Amino acid sequence: MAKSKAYKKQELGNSQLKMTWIKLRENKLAVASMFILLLVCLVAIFAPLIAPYDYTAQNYDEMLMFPCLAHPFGTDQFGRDILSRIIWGSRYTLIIGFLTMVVSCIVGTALGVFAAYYPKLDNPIMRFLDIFSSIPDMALLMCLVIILGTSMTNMIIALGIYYVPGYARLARAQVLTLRDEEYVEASRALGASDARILLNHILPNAMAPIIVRFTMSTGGCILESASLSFIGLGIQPPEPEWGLMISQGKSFLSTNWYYSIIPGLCIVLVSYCLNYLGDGLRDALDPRLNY
Amino acid sequence: MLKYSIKRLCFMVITLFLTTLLVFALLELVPGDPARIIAGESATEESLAAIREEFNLNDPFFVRFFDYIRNLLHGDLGISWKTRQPIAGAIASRLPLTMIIAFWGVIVGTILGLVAGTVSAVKQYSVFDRVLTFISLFGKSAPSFWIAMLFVLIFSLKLGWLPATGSYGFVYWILPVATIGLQASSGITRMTRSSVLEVIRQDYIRTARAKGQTELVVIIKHALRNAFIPILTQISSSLTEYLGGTVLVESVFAIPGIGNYVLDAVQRQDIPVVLSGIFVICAMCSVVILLTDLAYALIDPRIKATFGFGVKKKKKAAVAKEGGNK
Repeated sequence: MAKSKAYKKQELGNSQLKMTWIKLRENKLAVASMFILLLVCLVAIFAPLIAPYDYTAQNYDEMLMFPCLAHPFGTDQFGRDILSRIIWGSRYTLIIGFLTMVVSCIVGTALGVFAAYYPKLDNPIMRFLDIFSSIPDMALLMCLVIILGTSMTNMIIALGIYYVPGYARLARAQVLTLRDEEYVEASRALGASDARILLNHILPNAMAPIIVRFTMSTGGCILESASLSFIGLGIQPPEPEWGLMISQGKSFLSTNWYYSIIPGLCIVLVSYCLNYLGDGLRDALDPRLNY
Repeated sequence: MLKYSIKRLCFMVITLFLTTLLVFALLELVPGDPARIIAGESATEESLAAIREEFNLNDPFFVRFFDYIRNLLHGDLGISWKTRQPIAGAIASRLPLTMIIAFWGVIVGTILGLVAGTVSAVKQYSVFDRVLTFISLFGKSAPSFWIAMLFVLIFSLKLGWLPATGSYGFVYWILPVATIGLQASSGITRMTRSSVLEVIRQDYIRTARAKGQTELVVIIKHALRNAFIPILTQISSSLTEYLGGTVLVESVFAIPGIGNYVLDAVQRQDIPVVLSGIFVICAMCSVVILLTDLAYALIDPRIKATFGFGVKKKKKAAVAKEGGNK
């Protein structure tokens, strides 16, 4: 019987991380997405070196120029190079997407774990989060923005609050199924503390769907943050955020279509890649997961 | 069925009450003195005091909250801080537009999504499937306002077929509805595909085929009907999403809907308008969720049986558990 390469390696005692990577490698689209995302990260990190112009430099001789050799993506109404602004803007997109997810993932998972592990906390925590999630997304975000005000930190907090209930529900469902496993019972019988059981035994086994959700929601979060900036409740001008650039290009749509279409394409590219990577991770981590 | 409906209705009212309490409490945290927001920066102390008296700003939190609830029950949504107009009238004139666009958008999305999802499930791994998956991911990955601008660019500015902005009749609604339809269809396509894939290998499908049923009837009557519960959940959640989220589409097409109204109020810190706007949006969503819950019971008799009469308690629990595991 021909065993697959993956199985042989498992017998040699590979870590779970390596196993996941071996399975993920079979999904070409996911790997390609991962490389594109890495490339975008590198662009964001080395923005000052890559950007051909200063993203704030105004040049009134070159206002609203169509894409050409000197300005591959054209210029805006102040003569600023759009390519340079997109390169700098990738920082906002990635930082907001990633930080929001980290915040809401940690808070949400912690709440979900406590709710599942301590039955007394279950109803108070989950019903409170249910009320939060019964408010539609844009309505809740507008409500939070009016309280917090518009800035990048506040946007991350608002978006983070919006994503908490989803993580909490997922983590709770995971922990509920793991709580009564035999290995948990065994370590409790050995006298392990709750913290040790939760951190060493339950959480590592509950991580797979949370990682998948993390990847996929980052795409959604980038869209939400662009939406907030678009309606003027997120990043404020003159910062080069992609959603804001689309919004500024709106008034030039009839004459200079590239101004708002190109930043939009960048958002689509990043969020496509995150979705494909999420799909791949889901198949690699646990093929039975289905959502 | 009646008992089930009443139970759901009570649940909805409680949720809506708590949601209102939460939003009311959150809006208490808005920085700044409300009286100063109303009167402007240059107001004198006397006029500020008069305004506090007029808008009952001196009352304690719970007094104001229960006043608000009492007014709500009388159909009074409060008075705008900025225009001093009753909010109920403004919302009533804007609500139909938002509802038309959201409902028609989701109906278009449902039709597209059901067809595309079923086709890609039946022809799994074919070229169709791949192309449809790619398109449905596009709907999920592209911001709605950007899709809307793309539509404006192509259909209004380049081809000149449809008007770009405004809301004066049917032709003005085509592009907004198409935008929401495309976005809504992406989620429905994905859900339909995975849900149909799950049932299509069941024995009863094979039985239906074996007794000589045409493929179309097998798919529509046997596969799609049994796969419909998760699809219905997806349709309902898109509807609630777009009832509250049309603000993006509304702002591109300059449609005077409820989303634009709330957005204006957020920018001008008009708290009563934000509060009542969010309340109306939440109320609409609660009704949608209630109707979905009732529709589940119509489609899947097992859910209804959970709340039926004459069933012994033990049996009830077993059915409930099975329904919960589904």
